[in-house]
Amino acid sequence: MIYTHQNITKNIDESCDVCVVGSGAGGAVVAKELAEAGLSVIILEEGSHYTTEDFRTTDTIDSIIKLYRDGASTVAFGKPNVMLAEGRCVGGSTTINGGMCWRTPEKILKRWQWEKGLPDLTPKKMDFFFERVEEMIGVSPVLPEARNQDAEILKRGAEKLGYRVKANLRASRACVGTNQCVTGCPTGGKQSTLVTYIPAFLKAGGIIFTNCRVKKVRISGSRAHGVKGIIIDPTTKQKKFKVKIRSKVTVICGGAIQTPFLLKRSHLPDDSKMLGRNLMLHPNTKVIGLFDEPVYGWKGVNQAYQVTEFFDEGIIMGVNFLPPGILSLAFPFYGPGFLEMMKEIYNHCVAGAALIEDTSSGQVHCAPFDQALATYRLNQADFNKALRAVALLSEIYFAAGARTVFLPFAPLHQINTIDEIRKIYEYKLKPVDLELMTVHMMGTCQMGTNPQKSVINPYGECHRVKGLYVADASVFPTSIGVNPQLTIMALATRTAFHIAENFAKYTQ
Amino acid sequence: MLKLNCKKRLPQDVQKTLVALAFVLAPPPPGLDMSGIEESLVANSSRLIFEFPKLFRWGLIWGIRFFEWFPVLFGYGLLKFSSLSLQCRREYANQWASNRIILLREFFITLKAMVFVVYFSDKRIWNYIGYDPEPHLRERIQLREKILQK
Ligand SMILES: Cc1cc2nc3c(=O)[nH]c(=O)nc-3n(C[C@H](O)[C@H](O)[C@H](O)COP(=O)(O)OP(=O)(O)OC[C@H]3O[C@@H](n4cnc5c(N)ncnc54)[C@H](O)[C@@H]3O)c2cc1C
Ligand code: SF4
Repeated sequence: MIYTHQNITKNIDESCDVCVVGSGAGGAVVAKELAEAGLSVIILEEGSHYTTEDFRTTDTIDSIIKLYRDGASTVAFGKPNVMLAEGRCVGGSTTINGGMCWRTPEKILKRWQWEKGLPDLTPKKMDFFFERVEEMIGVSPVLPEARNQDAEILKRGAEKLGYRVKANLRASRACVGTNQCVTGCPTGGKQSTLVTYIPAFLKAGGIIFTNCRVKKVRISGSRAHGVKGIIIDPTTKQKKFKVKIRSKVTVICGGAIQTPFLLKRSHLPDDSKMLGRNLMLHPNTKVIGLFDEPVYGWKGVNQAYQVTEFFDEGIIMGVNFLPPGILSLAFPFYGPGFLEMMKEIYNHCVAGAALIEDTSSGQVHCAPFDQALATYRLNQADFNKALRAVALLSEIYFAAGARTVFLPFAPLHQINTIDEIRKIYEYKLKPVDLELMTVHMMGTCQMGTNPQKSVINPYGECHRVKGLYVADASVFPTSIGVNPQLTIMALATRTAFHIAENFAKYTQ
Repeated sequence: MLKLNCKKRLPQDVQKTLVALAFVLAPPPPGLDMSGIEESLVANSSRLIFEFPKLFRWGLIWGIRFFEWFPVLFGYGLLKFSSLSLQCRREYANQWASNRIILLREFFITLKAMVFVVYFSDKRIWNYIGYDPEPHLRERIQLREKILQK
């Protein structure tokens, strides 16, 4: 059953076995597994519920307003600022993501075992959880019908240089490449939690209250007892009703920005002082290649391939089509002739991006007006990595026949030959010259065995508060260097199994 | 269909600035009829800005006013931004874009980003630059039905 601000008519005061905050990659998975295990589960989700039919629109602004938090205006402040995007709707960020799926790389799991004391997270032990998620969300290669020219160009350039290219796996069933993943899949091809875990959760008897912002976790002593929140009208932003949920177990899955914010506001005891710290972003740099051949980037799926040659250095690269309003932001210039230039390049350009496995970190703070505020300090090593990623992507474009490459640096925004790549190093660029964005926030409630160094234990339960779990991107102890949804979902499945097995302990 | 009515609108003075700035950032070339764009620019910017967090929204609105009211600080006399000649508006905008004060520069980038996102969502501009996603969407929905039938 789904309740919305329209069909809720009074304050809510409910009891259940498990209350889950958020319905994204972490929340929907935990909720479905626990509902199927026979527990009574309530999801509280701040965003609204939309269906595949609702996404059959090309009104980008409407979609941004409805599906993204704060009209996608969020920023992690620093030098440079990093633009970040979070989903706020049923399905969370999976409703608006690109669907790429990677298992957690072995090198990362090893770091987690050795450096962070998480010996159970071996590929072998995680295998069951990955398989379970992959089956549910249809992790599969891109269909030939869905591929598009920009990905073929990337592959062509990389292969010419002898760089390793990987055909991507995506959460999809008959994805046909409409290329609207980031504003909600209009065909149902993308297997977000909205069309997989949420329907299974509802079928198992689960309840969702949408338009419900959770404001506080109810903690007394060393026990959590549920949450308090409010129902908000998404159009007028008016508070309509109060919500109180009494639960034996509470699982917070609001994402790596909102979860630490909520826990800080709830005064979670935290010996490690790590709550809200260790924010990692996979900073993402955009590089645009201009080709003589027609590209029509919007006719096909995002990132059919990724260049993985530099994975060990912490760099992976792919191409993403950008709608005109977003592509226009990639150019530091404007004025007379701008529209004519857009006309000339729009169907001849490839918009690529490099994802950086970061060692920099940031923090989530509590700002006035119920607002989370993120800060992030890009370190020199990651800045150098970003420069290298831009240089490599430019090289791939030129190898594939690009006429011009547009760079994400205000002082150096265009190069026209492969030899000019060295200008990236000659220009003495500074971090503030770099334009960065991210859609992968992680790490702000990191897991670990030592309560002095981590916020939650290896199963996601808070060290100091029993019955309070975290199961979302915030649990990662380090950056993972690949698209994170599969890791989040596998860890959330593991947490759900742990809760189900130990549930009796919370009923006493 | 995702449809949303915006009852909240930006203050009149702010509307004027955004429209004037749009024509500085991406003036329509001869032959591209953009009549009536002012209305959709204002409506869509209002919808977007009212989604922003309160502090950010206030900062943005007052920043836009500062941008509108103070060409005098940059040597353009007492006229407001939207009353300057097109040439002066361009020069004034350039001064913000390349200003030594990082706050002014960053503010201009934010403002430009918002205006571009809204301006470039106009279907006439899509048509002009050759972006036509609707037939593609319809065709792909049919293709998926065929694949699933198989
Ligand atoms: C545009 C975009 C593209 C991406 N592409 C990919 C990709 O291709 N592959 C990949 O692996 N990853 C991708 N990601 C990242 C991936 O989707 C996220 O990392 C993942 O969904 C995060 O899961 P989560 O559970 O932490 O949070 P989310 O999925 O964001 O879910 C959090 C949910 O909690 C809700 N919530 C937050 N606070 C509260 C509160 N106080 N009360 C009630 N509800 C609350 C939010 O509204 C939201 O619905 C992308 C992300 C974006 C934005
Ligand atoms: S490319 Fe289109 S069909 Fe495929 S997942 Fe994205 S939005 Fe859906």
